[in-house]
Amino acid sequence: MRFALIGQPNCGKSTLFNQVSGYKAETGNFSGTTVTYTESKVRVLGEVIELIDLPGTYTLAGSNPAERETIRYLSSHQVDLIINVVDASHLSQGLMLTLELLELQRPTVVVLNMMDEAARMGMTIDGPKLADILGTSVVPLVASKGRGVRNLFVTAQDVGRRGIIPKRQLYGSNIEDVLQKLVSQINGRCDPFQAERTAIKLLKGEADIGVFEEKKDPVLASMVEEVRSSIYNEYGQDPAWVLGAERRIIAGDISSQIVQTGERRVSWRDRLDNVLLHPFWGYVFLILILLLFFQIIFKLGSAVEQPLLAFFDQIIAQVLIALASYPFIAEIVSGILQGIAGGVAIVLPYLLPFLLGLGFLEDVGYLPRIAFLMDALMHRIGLHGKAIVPFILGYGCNVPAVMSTRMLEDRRDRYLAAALATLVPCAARLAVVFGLVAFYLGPSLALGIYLFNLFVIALTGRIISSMLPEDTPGLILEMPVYRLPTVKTVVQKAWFRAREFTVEAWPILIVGSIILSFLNYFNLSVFLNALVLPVTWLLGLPSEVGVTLIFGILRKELSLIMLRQALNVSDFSQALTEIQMITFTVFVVFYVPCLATLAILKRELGRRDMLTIAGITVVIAIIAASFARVIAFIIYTLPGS
Amino acid sequence: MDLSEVGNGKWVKFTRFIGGGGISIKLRSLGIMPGDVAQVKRLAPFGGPILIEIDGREIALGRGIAKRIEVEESTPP
Repeated sequence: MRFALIGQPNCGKSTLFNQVSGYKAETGNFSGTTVTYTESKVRVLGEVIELIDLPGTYTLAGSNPAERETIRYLSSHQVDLIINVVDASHLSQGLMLTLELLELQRPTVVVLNMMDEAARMGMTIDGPKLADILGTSVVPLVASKGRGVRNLFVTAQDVGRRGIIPKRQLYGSNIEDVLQKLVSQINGRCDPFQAERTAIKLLKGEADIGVFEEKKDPVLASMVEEVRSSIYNEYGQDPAWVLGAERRIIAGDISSQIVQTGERRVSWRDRLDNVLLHPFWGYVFLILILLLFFQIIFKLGSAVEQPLLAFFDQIIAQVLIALASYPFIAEIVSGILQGIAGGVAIVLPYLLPFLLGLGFLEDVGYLPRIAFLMDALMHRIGLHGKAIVPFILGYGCNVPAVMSTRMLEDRRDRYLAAALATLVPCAARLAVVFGLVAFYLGPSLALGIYLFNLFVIALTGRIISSMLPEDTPGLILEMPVYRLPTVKTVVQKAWFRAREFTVEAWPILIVGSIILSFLNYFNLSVFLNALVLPVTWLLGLPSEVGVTLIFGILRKELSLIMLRQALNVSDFSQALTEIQMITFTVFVVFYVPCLATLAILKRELGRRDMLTIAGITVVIAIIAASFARVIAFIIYTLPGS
Repeated sequence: MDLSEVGNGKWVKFTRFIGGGGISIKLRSLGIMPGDVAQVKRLAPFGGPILIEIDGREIALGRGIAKRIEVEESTPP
């Protein structure tokens, strides 16, 4: 049997799915975390059930990609049972989708999730009465703690097997009359269950996703036209809206019948938001929280990175000794090991703590608050508040940053956010900034480069968005309640995302390393230097630096490692002037994202956009580095400094 | 009057969504419709979003979107 999980965003479908499947779906206290569907096999009472987690949708009308995905799946796949997950603490809202699902006339189980939250809000819900009204089983659940999961699947299996069709809730008599008229015209040409369902679809004007094509029947087509316009004239709104408004009234009515609201405790959410969303203190706390966040990551990261790298260096040294008589093989093997080491040194020390911390902020419900606070600022660069998430992620690694642009509704926003997120200096580029500028020229200059980076990103955003035809449609975002995340979900989520990085990006890192070994072995660096000469000449850098820039495309932190080889010094200050160091670093921060990021850009946006973004970053890098060179010249050569 | 002109803490009733179909569809998909009564709970500074509470849910609406929602003053339901 195949069960489909359907519910509104942030109602806990994915949490439920992960409870039974191990961690396969991405969850978060943020609307629209699931954009594509995920499947898993679950064993219930000896039977194997295919469980599908569909993206959250408020309605089956479907205006964004996640919603359309849900509709497409339901109309194209055989589903034996719909498990409709409803957030019990927002029942009347959740029932609006339930009512639409009932109209599909398929076996359905309604799950009241977050019963603990509802109880905290002082609500008592009469489940049996709801079951009676809807004509199907209603099951209570606390998905985050796994309470009620077993009961749910046993019930679901029973309902699925018996094929119990729920009761469709009736609209007002005006609408029902019209529907019956359509049904009588359709009847006989498809089974009676389908007739009502098709009539509703035709009335809503959604015949294209239906099973029935009215165009083949001119009488029906003109009838649809006629009733739709008569409803439009009567209510002054599109029939789809009229039905939606009626469902809302029905949902409110049902909810008032079954929910008893007790004394609502003084909400600590409001008190917390009074501080965290405060026009002044909100920003102070935002900065403090992010500072603490990055501070912890870098403290943890650097503590682990050094011993790890030393360990790998030792292995590589031993391999080189062991294979000394086969220099080519030795070079390739050390390339592979370098690639593995690179992955380990990025993933374990920085990315994992980063993902853990991010998962925590996300599940607590702080990310939407950041979106709220940053919306005004993000509008200045042509985006809206939600696009702040890729930027924060970008400081860890650009790969998950680009992936996270999926949660933006509009393609325009996804493109712009991805392009700008690749300009955010990731942990690997941080290594260059720290190793060169902070080490030789002082930490305040390194900070200066970060601020300069923000400025360039903002400017680029303004320029690109002014060239894009339409304006960002703006922020519409539900503010979830604060929830205390469980260790399990946060760890699982971090693991899930780290795995995504491992599968998508790590192999490319390793391949990149092998290519490097080839270049090294055949001594092609002179050729490469010539290739990059226009850039190095333009920026007043020594031509030997060219090869490190090519290598930097394969892996960003290699720019620094290779610089030592290319210049043949251990102390950079012997080969580079201060001005050159700053120019070089600024160029490395901005130019072409690494190979792994390019691969993700191609997957998310397509080859053409990937290439334009790569091209844009080169132009930005050259301009920004030239500008930095002028500034550095002023700082270091003018008298009095 | 539109939603962006409403003061903090005020109750309003949505009367009309102005402009392109995109916005009305998005609002509808969040379950927000003309006739709904909502309270303005917070205003972000620098022309940032407006936080409204509707049916016990809090929803942030960007200023540009708020400008396209026509409202009239209302009382708590």
